[in-house]
Amino acid sequence: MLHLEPGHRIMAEALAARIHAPPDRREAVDVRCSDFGVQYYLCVPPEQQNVLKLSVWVRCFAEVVEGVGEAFFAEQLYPGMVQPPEPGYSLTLALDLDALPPEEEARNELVRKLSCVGRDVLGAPLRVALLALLGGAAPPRPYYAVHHREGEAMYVVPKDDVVIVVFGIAFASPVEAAIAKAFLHEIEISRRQSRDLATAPTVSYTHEPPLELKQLDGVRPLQGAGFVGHVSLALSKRNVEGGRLEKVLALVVGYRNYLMFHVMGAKSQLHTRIRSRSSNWLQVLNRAMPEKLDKEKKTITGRTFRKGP
Amino acid sequence: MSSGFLRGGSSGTIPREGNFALKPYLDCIRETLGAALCVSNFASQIVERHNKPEVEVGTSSELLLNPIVIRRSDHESVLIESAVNSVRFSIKARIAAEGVARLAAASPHPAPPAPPLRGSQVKQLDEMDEILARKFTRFLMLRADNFIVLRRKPVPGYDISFLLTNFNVEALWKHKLIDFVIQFMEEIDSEISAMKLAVNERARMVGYQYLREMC
Amino acid sequence: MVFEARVESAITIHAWNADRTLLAVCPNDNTIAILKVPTAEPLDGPWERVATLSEHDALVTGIAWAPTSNKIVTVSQDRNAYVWTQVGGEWKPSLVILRIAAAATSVQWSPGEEKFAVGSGAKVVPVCYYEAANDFWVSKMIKDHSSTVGAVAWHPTAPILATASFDCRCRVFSAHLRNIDGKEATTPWGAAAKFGTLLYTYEAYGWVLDVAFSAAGDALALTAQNSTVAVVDMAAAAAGSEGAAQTIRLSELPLTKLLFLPDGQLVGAGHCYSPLLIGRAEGAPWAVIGKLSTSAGRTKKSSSKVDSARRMFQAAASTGTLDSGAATLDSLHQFAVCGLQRFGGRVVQSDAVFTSSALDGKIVGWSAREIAAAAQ
Repeated sequence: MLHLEPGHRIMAEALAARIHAPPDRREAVDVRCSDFGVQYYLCVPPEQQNVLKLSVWVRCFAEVVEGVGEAFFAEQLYPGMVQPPEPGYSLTLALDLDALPPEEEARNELVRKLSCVGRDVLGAPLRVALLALLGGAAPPRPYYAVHHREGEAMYVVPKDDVVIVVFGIAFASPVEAAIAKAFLHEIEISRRQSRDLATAPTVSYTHEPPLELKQLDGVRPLQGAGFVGHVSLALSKRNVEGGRLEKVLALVVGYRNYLMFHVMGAKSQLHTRIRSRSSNWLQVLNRAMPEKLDKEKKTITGRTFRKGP
Repeated sequence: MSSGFLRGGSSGTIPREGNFALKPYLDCIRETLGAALCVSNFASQIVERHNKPEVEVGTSSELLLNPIVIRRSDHESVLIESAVNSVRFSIKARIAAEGVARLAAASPHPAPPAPPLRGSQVKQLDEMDEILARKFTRFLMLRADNFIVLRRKPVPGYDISFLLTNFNVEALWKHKLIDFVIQFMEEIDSEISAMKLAVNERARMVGYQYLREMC
Repeated sequence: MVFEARVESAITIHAWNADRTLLAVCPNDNTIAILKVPTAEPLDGPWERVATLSEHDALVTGIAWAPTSNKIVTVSQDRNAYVWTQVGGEWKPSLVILRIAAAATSVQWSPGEEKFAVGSGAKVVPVCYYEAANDFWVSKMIKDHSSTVGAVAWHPTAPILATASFDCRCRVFSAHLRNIDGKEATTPWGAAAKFGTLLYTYEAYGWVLDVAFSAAGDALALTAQNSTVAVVDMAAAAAGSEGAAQTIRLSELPLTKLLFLPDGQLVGAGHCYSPLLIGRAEGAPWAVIGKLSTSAGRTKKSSSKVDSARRMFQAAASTGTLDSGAATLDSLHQFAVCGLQRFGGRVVQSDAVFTSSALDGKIVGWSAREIAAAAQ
């Protein structure tokens, strides 16, 4: 399992159960879960079982809304679904279960779309920028900043023919930070050295903010104890053409999660390795222990066993 | 040394050739440790009915021998402090990038030639080494109960310390005890290098697959 | 032929009775086990324990068995000494007023068996004798040491005592007690001096670990931590001549125990697991003659198939190898030797001139054959 799913598995399952259920077999539900810094809340109240409410909380919702505008969610992304947010959440979507499209495929598509709500909220600026790139329109804004985690950010800088996405990456634990550095370093080398990646977005890893960010006003440089560096991906039109927008969007927005997943994996791999090496050493030490002189042997019932003459 | 056992271990990719360079150093340590471990039961002459490792107590100067430092490089040395009934053996581990270069060269899947190192890159390699060494030693010291001869705290300036007392030498074959210490020294280095290599290999794979999806 | 028997799990020190039918050993704890020497094969395996002397409450560091009076004296790190006498089959302890503030390290009966000397961590050497009026053993101190005294040795005829100390000195003292030795006693230094008089000092470059007098009393041998053995000619030492002591450098790890054989040769063992034979040709200096070893006549332990298979799997689980974890050194002892005793007897079919014991629980008897082989 090298790649992460774009959506949230538990949410997708809970949504699918409600959306596909026949009207007479609906059940109320109240599910809260979180994943990579996004919190989800799915609710079908028992007294009104035909209304499904999905709320989501992300750290930088205000920033996203400010970038893409209020109307983007209400009109473009989730037409007719946006409600006033539930307390403690950033965005609430409501779905009338009685007014769903009858086709199986359309319902599946709806499940897929709703389960990816975290990605879509955080990736809204990128979506706007990529749509502009595809449509050949002028960049709507000079840049978007998404501070999706404490001390970290994703910047989207649309240019004439490319969209540059810069991640500022930080890890609190020094071990994870060191591993993450190796990962960022290696992705850059991979891009440069593998011929079959010639069409992939260009990647660069720097500690200092890249030139594109430095030229912008109002971007506060990231810093802190666990700050690892900046990694930037340059997405060209070629990367998103031909219906690959959704896939690339999921990959790019999910990069931080993908990295985190593999950093943790590498860390636990190291732990396993240390553990097994230590037990090998213990065996070497045990080799130095002579056998005790067997004075008496006990049988399984605890009686003393003596060898015959 | 039972190298057959090592090959059976989890670190199948560690090239053993690397240890030829270490051999004179380890041989020297083996001989010195063999001589230093001529210890015997010795009750305290200061405190009644006490029997403590004199190298730790250090109250009777005539019972301590001059400490010996065996140095291979600025980063690699051992300190052997001996007393009448105990020996303290401390290791400063190799933390340098040269071993990685050596390992990468001997790896069965040679990595593509690395780009010229930038300043930050050398530093990164060192940092990883240091973190792994620290993690390793910390893990072992938390298990000092099992590793009877491991000291819970290293001597200042060293990464890991062993305390070998007459009681250990009475309960364990001395030559095998020394084998253990030497094998430990031999392997901790290559293990750290191999772990680092494994992280880098995984990182490259993960990076490659990520970009592959976007082609 | 050499005999080799693993009689306990571990042995630190051992002592034989006069007719070599009983063996006292310390199994590296606070007790002394009296074992009966088997009269038939097999020799290997635990020997029958006929008594356990358990009065000490810390590690026993010295056992000496007086051949004529059949008394055993034991000393321990608990600062006490007991003299054990056999009363109707039972061993009865009597306390010794040792008056030391640190551990005792070793004990030796004087040749006449009416006094014994104790090495101690209190930097003094109590010389103990029996006081009939009070019915206990009292002690008189020899001082002048600046560190722990690890070993003591009595001169075979004169009332003088040699001590080995961790202050890197070997000293010879007068241990003449008027009430026991009488007024007149002769020593290599002439008439016996006052008790506690320092007669001779040898300076070594390492802790002096053991001392021994030759049977004739003409030579004193000592071993030091710096892998040297020195032999002091008593007549020359008494005359104060410069070259009284001859130092031999060993190419082995240090010896911790020395023993003179009846024929005047010296054996030593310790961190060097095989005994070294040291001697001299007529008029030549002392030198290492050879190492005692055995290749012939060593009986292999046989074990059943099930037994060896079980051992193999146990070893595989705990050590990660398939060999049963057996030691690989080619010496008979696999641990430091910590006892050498004169034997001069026979066990079942094996003669032995002297015996050695080590922490592996083995008693090894070395016969004239090995000694002769070492000389070649």
